[in-house]
Amino acid sequence: MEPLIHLFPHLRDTELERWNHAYVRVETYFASLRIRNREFLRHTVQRSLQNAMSRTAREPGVEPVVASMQEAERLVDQWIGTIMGTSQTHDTERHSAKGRLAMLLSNVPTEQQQQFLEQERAPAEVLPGSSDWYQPANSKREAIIMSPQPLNLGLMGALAEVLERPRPSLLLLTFLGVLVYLLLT
Amino acid sequence: MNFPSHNTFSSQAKYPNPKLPNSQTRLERRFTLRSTLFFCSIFAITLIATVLMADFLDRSGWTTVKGFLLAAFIPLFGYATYGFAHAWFGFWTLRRKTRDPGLLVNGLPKSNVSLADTKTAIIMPIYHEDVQDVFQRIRANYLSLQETGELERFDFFVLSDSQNPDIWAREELAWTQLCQELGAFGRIFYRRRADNTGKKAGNVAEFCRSWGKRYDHMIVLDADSLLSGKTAVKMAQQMIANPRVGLIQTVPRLCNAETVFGRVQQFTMRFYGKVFLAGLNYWQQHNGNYWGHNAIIRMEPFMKYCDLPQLPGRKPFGGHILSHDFVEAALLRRAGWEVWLAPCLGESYEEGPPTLSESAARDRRWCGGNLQHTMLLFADRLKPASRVHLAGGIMGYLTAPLWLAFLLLSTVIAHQESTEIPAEEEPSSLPGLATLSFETQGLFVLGLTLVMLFLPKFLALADLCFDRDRARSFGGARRTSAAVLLESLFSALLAPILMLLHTRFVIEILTGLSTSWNPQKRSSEGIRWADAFHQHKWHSLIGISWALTAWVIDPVFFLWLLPVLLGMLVSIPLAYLTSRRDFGLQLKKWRLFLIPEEYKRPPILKLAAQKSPEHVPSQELPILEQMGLWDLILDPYLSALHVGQLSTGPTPEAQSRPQFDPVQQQRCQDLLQEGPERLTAEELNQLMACEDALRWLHVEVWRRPNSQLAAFWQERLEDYHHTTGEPSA
Repeated sequence: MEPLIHLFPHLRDTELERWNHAYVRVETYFASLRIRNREFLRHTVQRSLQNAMSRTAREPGVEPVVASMQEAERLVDQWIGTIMGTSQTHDTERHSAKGRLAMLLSNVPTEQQQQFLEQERAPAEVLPGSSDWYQPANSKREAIIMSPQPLNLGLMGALAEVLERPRPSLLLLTFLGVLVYLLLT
Repeated sequence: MNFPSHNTFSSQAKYPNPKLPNSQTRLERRFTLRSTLFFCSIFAITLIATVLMADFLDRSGWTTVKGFLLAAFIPLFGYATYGFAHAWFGFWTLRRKTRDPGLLVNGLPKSNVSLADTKTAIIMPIYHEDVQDVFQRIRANYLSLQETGELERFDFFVLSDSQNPDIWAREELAWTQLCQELGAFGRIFYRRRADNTGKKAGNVAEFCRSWGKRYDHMIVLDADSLLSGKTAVKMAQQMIANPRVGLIQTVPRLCNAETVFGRVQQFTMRFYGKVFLAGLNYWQQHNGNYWGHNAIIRMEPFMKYCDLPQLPGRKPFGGHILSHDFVEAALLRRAGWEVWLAPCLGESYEEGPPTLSESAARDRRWCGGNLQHTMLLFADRLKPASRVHLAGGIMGYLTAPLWLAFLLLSTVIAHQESTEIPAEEEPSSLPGLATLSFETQGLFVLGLTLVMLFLPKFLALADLCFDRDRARSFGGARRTSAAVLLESLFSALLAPILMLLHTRFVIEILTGLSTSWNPQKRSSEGIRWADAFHQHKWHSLIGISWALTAWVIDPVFFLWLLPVLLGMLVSIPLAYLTSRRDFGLQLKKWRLFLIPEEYKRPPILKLAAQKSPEHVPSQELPILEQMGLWDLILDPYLSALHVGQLSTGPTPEAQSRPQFDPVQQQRCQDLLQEGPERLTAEELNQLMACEDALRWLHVEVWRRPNSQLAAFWQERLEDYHHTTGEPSA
């Protein structure tokens, strides 16, 4: 982990602890997005934390981890918006999920590491709307109604209504009774 | 019928009415002739045996117990003869020089039938199966079909009924990885039902209701099925060439067995199967049966006639039909559609249970389903052959209590005769047998029974002598003979154990203990001695008690009973030893219980054994086996994947999904603050099905400080930091 004291020398011990926690969380988050380049990861985490710190200066009540994660998400969402050629809508979470799905399906995490989060080097392969053809259950359905044909069960149908299920104890007693009878006769 | 007229099928114009008058004649006449000959033979042999047995019992004085014994003997002998007749007629059919005109494949025109303008769905209903294995098989089926050049005529559907959220998560990931690897988005589909009403039949019915209209045929696969592309294409071609056919059942061959039990079963099915299936096809013709998978079904009649009714009355006979396949075939036949068995369509495979205990678990399930068919035996307008199939399935399990009763009654008779002054046996009252001694007649009845049971094995062996290539593929004539001998010994030991197990199942089911539908374990690892002891201690105890009783009654009677008691006595070591993989592989090394697929591996099995290429994106995603519910919440990509799955398509599933209402919101809070243990599996499933809840959880779990997260999530984040947070320069 980056020694935060060098980044933010003005922080007191208690604040430092909270920002350390935020650092770890943001670093884990970016790592979970499969950023493997150590230098790039450190740079991205610092960028998010610096933005978060500016924000907490304006809004002192906000937890560092919340502010930092929001900044990290904003960074990713902005990049997704640029790549997919869509402006961020009010439904940020849906937009973000769609973007991440497109990234996964376009192999961004594995094959296009260098382009990830780089506004200037956005890869053409990250196809906008990749998730449009993501149809797990094939949405082209044509629903029909199916219903069973009438089936007269005959004798068994009538018996099913009246017959009681034999009790295990009764069955055992009957068996023993028959066995004793057979042995005695 | 509730079939709206606006939903007419595209295929209707292409196919003639199945009830055209000229469609009957020759086929029906042939069926009538053959089935009459077949069943009359069974009846005649059983009648002879019954008369001999009755006379034998009568010679030492008739008693009530002997009456019961004879009553148990008749169906038991009849059922054994039913098996024998299949092998006998099968052997005879296979020896004929000319092609059997009563085989569906012979009706296929020589030139290939074009699949243009037809669409076939290949569906695989799954429920808590090994995810990696399932998608590996889909991959093999897909690649094999791709090689035929007819891929565009087929779509694949994985129809999940899994209720465990962890397995659901794995299935989704495996599906995505597979589609990425094969470029098969839009060709392989994945659908999960939130509610698994009607189990497998309900799962398939839901597919039919949603997508059935878009397809002419569907090929139904089991979770362990493998079907080569060539066979799939041939099946579709057969359906086009034979427009009156509603269903074609291939013969799924067992494969990939490694344990002793699995290998013996695999060999048995493969080796004896040929003559039995030829015999089955000889009499049943177009009145075939459906075995639930590795079959192609014409969508139109299936959707029209095969929606299964709920049976009246209470469980175990009432309610949903548990074993749907036989019934669906019977309903298709009832509506006039032909159902064929096509053993000639090769490269159709499945896997069998690797151990006795897993085979018994499967039998428990099948037993419930088959006994329930009693309700349908006398159903209106079913074809006689369909009734025979249903009755055959029922008898498969009822013979166990009948055999047990027969053996118990024999013990009672032995006891009675040992306590009485032996009476002089009367001469036989049958014409021509007056000079036959009592013992000889007894041996004759026993011999006749043994012929019914063992001659089919020798017929299969004799059939092998006519085909050198086939003999070589089973390891050579000598090794095959040795395998047949060992198998006969094994089945003799196994039969009494199955008798006790099946009797227990029948009693449990009839007395209303629920018939569960548990997933079948497919592992080939052996069982522990403790497990073998736990599962078979009662069988051993029954065997010991019975042996002692028989010895006390009469040592000669004990010797008569010993072959049956031996199986019970050795049930624990037998279950243990036959579950061993290393012993099974040793047998394979000795080229015993070999099957042709092990001699020359078909491409589809090679494909199924092939691992996915290492460069596929899966290496960057969690390892499938270790993946769980929390990955769908934490992992940015998997979370998006799951949400994407929930948000696609206006399916009935989507419409019935839970809303992110205050109840769900509270559950989300509980999940984060107190961990997953706070929620039931059902509640977790509902959360996993709610798109908004999932998105909210993903954002919230990353944003919350540790103080507001349950220890579970803190640990998961810590793990995540270790597994994904170690970037390299």
